[in-house]
Amino acid sequence: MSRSWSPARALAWESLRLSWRPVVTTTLAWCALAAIYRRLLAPLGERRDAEVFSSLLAMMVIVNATILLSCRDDGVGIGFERRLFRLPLSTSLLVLGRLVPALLYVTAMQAAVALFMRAALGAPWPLLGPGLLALAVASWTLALSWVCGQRPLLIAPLGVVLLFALLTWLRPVLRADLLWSRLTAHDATALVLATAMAALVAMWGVASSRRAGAAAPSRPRLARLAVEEAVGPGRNSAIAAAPTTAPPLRSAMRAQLWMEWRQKGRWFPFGILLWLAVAVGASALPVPETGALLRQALHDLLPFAVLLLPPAAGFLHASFHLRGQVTGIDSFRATRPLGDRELAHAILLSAARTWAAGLAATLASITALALGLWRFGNAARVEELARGIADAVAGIGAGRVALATGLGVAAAWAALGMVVAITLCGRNWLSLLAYVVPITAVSVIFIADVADVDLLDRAGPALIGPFGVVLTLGAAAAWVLAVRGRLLPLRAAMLAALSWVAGTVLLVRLMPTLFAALLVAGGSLPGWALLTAPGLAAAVVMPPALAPLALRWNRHR
Amino acid sequence: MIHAVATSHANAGAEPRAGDSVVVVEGLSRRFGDKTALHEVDLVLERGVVLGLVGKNGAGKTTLIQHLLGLLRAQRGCVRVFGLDPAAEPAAVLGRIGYLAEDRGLPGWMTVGELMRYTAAFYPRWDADYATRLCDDFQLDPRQKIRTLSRGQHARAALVAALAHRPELLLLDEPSSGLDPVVRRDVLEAILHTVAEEGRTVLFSSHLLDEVERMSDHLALIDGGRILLAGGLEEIRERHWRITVRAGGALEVVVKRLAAPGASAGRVLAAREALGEQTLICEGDCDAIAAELRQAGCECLAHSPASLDEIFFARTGNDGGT
Repeated sequence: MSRSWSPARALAWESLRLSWRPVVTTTLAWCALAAIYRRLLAPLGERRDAEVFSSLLAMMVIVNATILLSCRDDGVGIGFERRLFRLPLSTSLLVLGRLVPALLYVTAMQAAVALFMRAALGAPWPLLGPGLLALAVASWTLALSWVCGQRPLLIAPLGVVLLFALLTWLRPVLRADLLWSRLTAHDATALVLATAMAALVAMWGVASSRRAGAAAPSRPRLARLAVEEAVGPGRNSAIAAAPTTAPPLRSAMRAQLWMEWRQKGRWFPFGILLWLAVAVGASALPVPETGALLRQALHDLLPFAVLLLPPAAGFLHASFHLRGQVTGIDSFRATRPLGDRELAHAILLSAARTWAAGLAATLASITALALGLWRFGNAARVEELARGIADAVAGIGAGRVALATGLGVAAAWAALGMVVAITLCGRNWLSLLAYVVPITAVSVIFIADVADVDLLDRAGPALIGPFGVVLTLGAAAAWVLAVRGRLLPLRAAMLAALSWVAGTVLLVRLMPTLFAALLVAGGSLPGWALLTAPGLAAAVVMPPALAPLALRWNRHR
Repeated sequence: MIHAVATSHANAGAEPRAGDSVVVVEGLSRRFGDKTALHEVDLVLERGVVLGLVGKNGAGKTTLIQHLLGLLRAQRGCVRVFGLDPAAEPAAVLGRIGYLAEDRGLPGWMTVGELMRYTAAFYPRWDADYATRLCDDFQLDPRQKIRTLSRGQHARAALVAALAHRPELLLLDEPSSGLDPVVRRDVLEAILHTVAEEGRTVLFSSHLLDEVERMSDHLALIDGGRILLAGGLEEIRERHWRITVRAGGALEVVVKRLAAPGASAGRVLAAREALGEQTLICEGDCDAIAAELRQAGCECLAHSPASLDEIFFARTGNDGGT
């Protein structure tokens, strides 16, 4: 950066620099997701393209907006960065310096996705309507986060009010044209005005925060003040009256599990519920019939929740600095008198518990949704769905369903464990590599599919075999290193080896049956796909050895 | 005799000994990219010693402490705390250490009470009564969240967590950094009290020389990753002198000769000229240096023991060092 830059230019440059990575990643992810929908789900004939794409579009608008909250150097997401208040710039320039680059990225992302959808997928993806909607939602998201910097709890109610207002306004528009290809001048004007209004609200909120100056100490609650007044002003009274009912934590491991859960895990189910609420809202946008909402939620959201929850829970627990760019372990955790194995296993177990809690929250919310719709007027649809599920289970066989569920849990554990181990390494470059490579691989497979190049059939045998071998060797190496480094006892390694053999045999026997029963009715699994069995079994037994090794690498640099 | 030895390889006066040593560091070197953070550091800290580790910002104090905690692995040399490698056996080592980080680093979402409850679980020797007494003395409300504490209260809470399990070794990284005089006094008194009552071993880093002078009985001066000076505080004081001479004549030539390494009687570490007089900070035999100056025709006006400030500036080359 040149020294002669003005503060406004420097601010704009910084905003662009902070935003490009998440926004570009999101763009690529949406293109891949759209390709998956187009090639895999749309041919199933469940719904029309218009509904699928409208649903995707709505989700993209929301995710696009929320991702902007993390485009800052501290990653906090709520409140305007206080350090910027010291810049010799007016508040309006400060706000525009952050808002305009973010909105430019949103526009570019919308254009890129639209181009991809039209050119590569041949989908009738519109630009103007979704683009303007994305700008309005993104600007309001940022404005709300800046206005509520001092009172973060206000975001949820204000956000819900705005979401409902948006839904109410959008539903009639979308009923007329699901894909917004005939956006009226009136609608476009409304969205532009909404964006401008958001900028004004943001300026007002940031100006208030700027006037407030440095953060004041938190205000004591009125109830507490009253109690203290009644007890007396003595300083020791507060201490003497302090509740000491919490039982002591009986071991270091329990203490660490308690800490991991309290700091991170307990928020996860709430986050899932919030995400589900937003996702169901977004899914509801293009569905003219309210009754179709449940079917759509079950069809789209449950698989996504099952696929995304384990990595999300793993990443949440193994990232020590959610508020910064640093990925290394924090000094507080690193200096606890706990061995590397115990600390890593506490994190791993807490991540698994968090995943289970998140899954329970997902299932509970979907059940609640189903019960709600069944009770209030859509009983037929729900009953039809329940009958469909029962028939499907009967058709596949209860035993096979139970086995598939067990394998699903094992796969979730493997995914969670791998993510925990990779993130526990605390190296940015490794995390980037570990996440980008699989995403790129999946994207390449689906893009090739879009281009009618059957990559899996052609390259499958050549790629899958080595992949399985690499996973197996990786697991073996992890266990050997862990035992040699005195992180794990030899008998644990023996147990892992036995589990791996048993898992491999089980997978080889079950994979063809489950493939035919669950994925492609009556189809047969290609022989080369069985080569993945040892690798998949190895992935399940790898985390207990890999996580302590990763933590040791991070903790003692 | 309880003592600490801390020398660089260049002027190693004593070999590190492992007898009753709590900390033994031998030939420790550490690089971060192109930057050398520690170079051939030797340090022996014996039981009951209070060692002040003094140096400028970026001198290598925190890096050395992080090696003792096992947060950094020795690239060259070796580190032993209680005879164990802290990177290989963190639980065994950290369980006997009380550590106060410069940034404190306590989780802001915990209350003070939760911090005590959580920390107690790690230490079988946790003294709940002592923790309560310290909280009471420091006016810490167990219901208050860490993030709402003032900087001083935050430091006090961290100190209670570090002291209440009665650690054998206290590692304090800039314990009074950013604290007001009242909190600073509280923190230092709590540490001194622990040392006086229980004879704990303490290693604390600081750039506040008055604090080091007040608390420690041994001192190690670190600069640019090298230990420039180490030993008992009294011994260091006795070895360093301030000599005032009238400027002029052959003074410059003599000072240069006396500043050269290997000068026999003593060595001039730094010289500063003001109002026609030159103040020399010297190490070694004061009388011999004065005699040599007189022999060269210089007039010695006064000599007295050098202060710790003067020694620090002279050693780190920030005093117009020769």
